[in-house]
Amino acid sequence: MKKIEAIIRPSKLKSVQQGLKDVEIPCMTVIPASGTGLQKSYTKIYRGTKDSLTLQNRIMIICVVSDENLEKCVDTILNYGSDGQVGDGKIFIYNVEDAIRMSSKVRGNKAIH
Amino acid sequence: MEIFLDNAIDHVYAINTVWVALCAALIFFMEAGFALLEAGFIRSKNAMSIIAKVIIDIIFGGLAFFIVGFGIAYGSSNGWFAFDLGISKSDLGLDLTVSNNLFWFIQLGFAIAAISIVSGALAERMKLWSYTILVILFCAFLYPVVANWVWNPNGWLALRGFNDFAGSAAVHAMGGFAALAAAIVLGPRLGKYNSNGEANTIPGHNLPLAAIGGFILWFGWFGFNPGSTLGAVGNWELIGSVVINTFLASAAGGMSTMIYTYFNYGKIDITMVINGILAGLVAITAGCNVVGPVSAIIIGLFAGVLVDVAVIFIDRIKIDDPVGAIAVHGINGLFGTIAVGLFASDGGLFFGGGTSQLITQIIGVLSIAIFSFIFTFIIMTILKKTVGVRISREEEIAGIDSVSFGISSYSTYD
Repeated sequence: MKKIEAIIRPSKLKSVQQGLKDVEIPCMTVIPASGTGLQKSYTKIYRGTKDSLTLQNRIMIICVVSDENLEKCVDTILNYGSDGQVGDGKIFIYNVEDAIRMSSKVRGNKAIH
Repeated sequence: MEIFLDNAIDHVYAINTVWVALCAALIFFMEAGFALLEAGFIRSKNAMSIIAKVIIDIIFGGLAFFIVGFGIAYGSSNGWFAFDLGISKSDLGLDLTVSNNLFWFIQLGFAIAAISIVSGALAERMKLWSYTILVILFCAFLYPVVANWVWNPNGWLALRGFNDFAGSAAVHAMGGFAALAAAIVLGPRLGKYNSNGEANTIPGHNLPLAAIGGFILWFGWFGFNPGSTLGAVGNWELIGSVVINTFLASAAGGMSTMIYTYFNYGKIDITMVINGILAGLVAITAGCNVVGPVSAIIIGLFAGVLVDVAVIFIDRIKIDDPVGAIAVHGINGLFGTIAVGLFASDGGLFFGGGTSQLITQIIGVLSIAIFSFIFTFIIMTILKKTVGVRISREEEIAGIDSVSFGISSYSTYD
């Protein structure tokens, strides 16, 4: 079991969600995030004062998938979530000990997709 | 009913009462505008504290204005001051065609508007009870003294022919310069200035909220200026031109700010455009009864640029004014009052009226600004030396809402 954290552009959320649904990995948690990577920061002006330490708005998608679904899920996120530009985001992958579906108390791969 | 129909003067009183009550309610609603504008322009951790401040303006300021303030403003004046208490039953000498009580209510709107200007400049860092003392003293003494000078029939400025129709000087310059003095004594918010003197941005947490506050103030201004006619009977032409001038100046103010910020920064700064609209409104408030529509547009255009320059200047001299109250109300109150001497169709310098009105306007508004600045400075300094004006560093970092109110504005998940 793997946990995928994908930080993507907010404008890509719809197409990534649709893409994951199409490959039958529909479960996700979405968190509004802000941060900065290698892209150039832009300068904000608020009431005449400049601010160059700005953060970009991004979306973090969290999916927990079985080992065999991992590559399919990552490929889909890359496919639908990337423009090939600096600032597209990052994907992190972690091992997961266990998962429990709370309604039926089912554990392991059966609790996830 | 027939009894009343026989008596023409009753009609006049009835119609004027409806008119003044309507405008007074509009002015009172401007407090909602102040509260939302200021809440939107500050950080979410202090949003409830500014709501509390505006409520204090109304409840403590309103009672102070009832018990002492109104008597000082509209009692029998020696030119500078009156010593009455409460609301007099006798004729105030203003040719009122509404009851003294209703007149008190519309004047209350002006008094609490003036102190609400101050609340914005002191946002995010002032002790609530110290602020309450300032509110009481301001609404009981400071504002009423200035209202006495300008609007009491025996006030020294009224007798000189000073034209401040709805209070560019008596309300806005008064509030704006009090805000300036208070913000100087209070000092900037933590993190506003770096040790090398550079200013940081502390962006407002909810700009649509600030915008709706601006819209409510804009709406309320159509009670503020036209309501200062204090009666509709026989005043319809005047009310019409006041309404038109009020609108034109506000639109021109917003327009010039929009164009100015676009060419200066390459982007339109809507927070400044809101201030520009308000600056146009403040600037036309003194002269909306005596200038023509073209003059109103020129006054508005100038006010819209003046507010941008003033916001940046005030920021640069290290006076922290989170909402731009000093620039909008103080600087443009000053400008708007002086503009009467330049643009008045009858008596203005640009219309061949010579300099006498202009000089009266300058003397009047400077007296008010200096009076307001000095006495607010003294009150704030005494408060600072005794009970303290500044919240603790810990409270400022954690946010006033959680420390002093035990609540946050946006708290629940459910």
